[in-house]
Amino acid sequence: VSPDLVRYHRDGGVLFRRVHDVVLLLGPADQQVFALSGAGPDLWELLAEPITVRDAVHRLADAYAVPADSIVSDVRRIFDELSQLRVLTRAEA
Amino acid sequence: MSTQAPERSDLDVPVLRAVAAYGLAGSLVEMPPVPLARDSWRTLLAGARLQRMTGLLVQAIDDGALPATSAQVNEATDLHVGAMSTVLALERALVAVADVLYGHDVPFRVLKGAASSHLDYPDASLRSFQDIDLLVPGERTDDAVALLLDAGFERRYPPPRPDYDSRFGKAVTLVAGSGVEVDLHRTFALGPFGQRIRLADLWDSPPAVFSLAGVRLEALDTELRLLHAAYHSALGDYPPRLVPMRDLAQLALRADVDFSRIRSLAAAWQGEAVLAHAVHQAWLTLEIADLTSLSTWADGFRRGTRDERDLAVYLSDSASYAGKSYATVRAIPRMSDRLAYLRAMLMPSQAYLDDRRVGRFGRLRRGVATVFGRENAG
Repeated sequence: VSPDLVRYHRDGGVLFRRVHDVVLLLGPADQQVFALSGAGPDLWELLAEPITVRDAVHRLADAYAVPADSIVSDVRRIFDELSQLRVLTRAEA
Repeated sequence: MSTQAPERSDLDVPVLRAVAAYGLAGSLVEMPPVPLARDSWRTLLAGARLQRMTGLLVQAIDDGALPATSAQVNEATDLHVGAMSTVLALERALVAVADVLYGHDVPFRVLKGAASSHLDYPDASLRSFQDIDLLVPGERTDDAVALLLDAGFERRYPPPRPDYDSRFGKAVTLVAGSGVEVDLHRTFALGPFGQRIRLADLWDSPPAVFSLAGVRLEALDTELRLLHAAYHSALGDYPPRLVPMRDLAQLALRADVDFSRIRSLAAAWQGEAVLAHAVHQAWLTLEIADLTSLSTWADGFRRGTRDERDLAVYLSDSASYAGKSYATVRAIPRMSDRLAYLRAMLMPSQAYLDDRRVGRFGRLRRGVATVFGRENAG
């Protein structure tokens, strides 16, 4: 399965709050709060339900009226970072 | 009804009251038409932080209701990010504490900000809090304290007597190494009004439920949350704080609240004066124009002699722990319990005295003076 076709969603153990244009995240095993800014809060909204990187790219591209190709690497990087922070979980097929 | 306003407090800062009332249906408090000058802004910022209202402040600015300079927007946002970071850390601690208590079948209900932020506000980020408050049955208080001590918490104060927490105490405060504070409550308030609450009523009804990080948590139901907000607002601090007033109004303006049950419980607890005072003060302070059956009842409520005497213990600048403690004696129905309570107050344990760096004689003398002072005044 291509990595872009794996579906992810928020980990059930993460605590978060939206503040103004930032989402604050505290992972299940973290002592430190992380902040998602820019388009991050919109991506966090999408991650309420399982979603692939490819679908997330298209949804954000539509929302911001930009070509999907122009944001795909940024979105993929945010997915990677959120996964490293263990605030994302791979959805069961 | 007669309501004495505090002489000087955040209640006297109109823009802070406007922030406290922001988003409430029917509030007439007006925001300033232009950004605040430096000193007024500083006062607002400090007040919003102390009153746990940075979320309402940021929301009012975001909505354009409170004009602010770009620097003020940044300051308010930074303050709120800090408040919410604290809240997330507290919620993580709450989940851990819940795990400990669930693991040993100790029942508990989440109280105050940790519950009301999720259950009563349209967005949890609107309500900040600085500690975790849990209700635990009196007979399980000692178990809960022991479990949290095992988990690494420390008691802030030793009890006056070994059985004081489970029989008479309002709450036990425990502090983790991280600084997280957990208050284990037995009842809603110190003093006579807290003593008269029928504690079984707090556990009889099905709880409200919310979840954090996938963990199911129970809170008091809507009417009991409203009554707790009223007790906290009227009896908790003097001058009163804005945030419990907002909590109270937030609940009282809901369409699905059973006012007859609230009044019935307040009557059974001999706490109608507390409820009426809290509702009246919230309506006055937050300038709520809408009348509800509860606010109409509160406006028409007349205190009796005992109400006046008992409220006086709380509603003054000189309200003290000792004063509330000794006024509690009158509210304890059984003579054997009264004697046990008095013994705890007059002859507390050495650890309790050491913690407060007072001698036994000094406390005894102060206690006797308080008892006789009250009796002479009453």
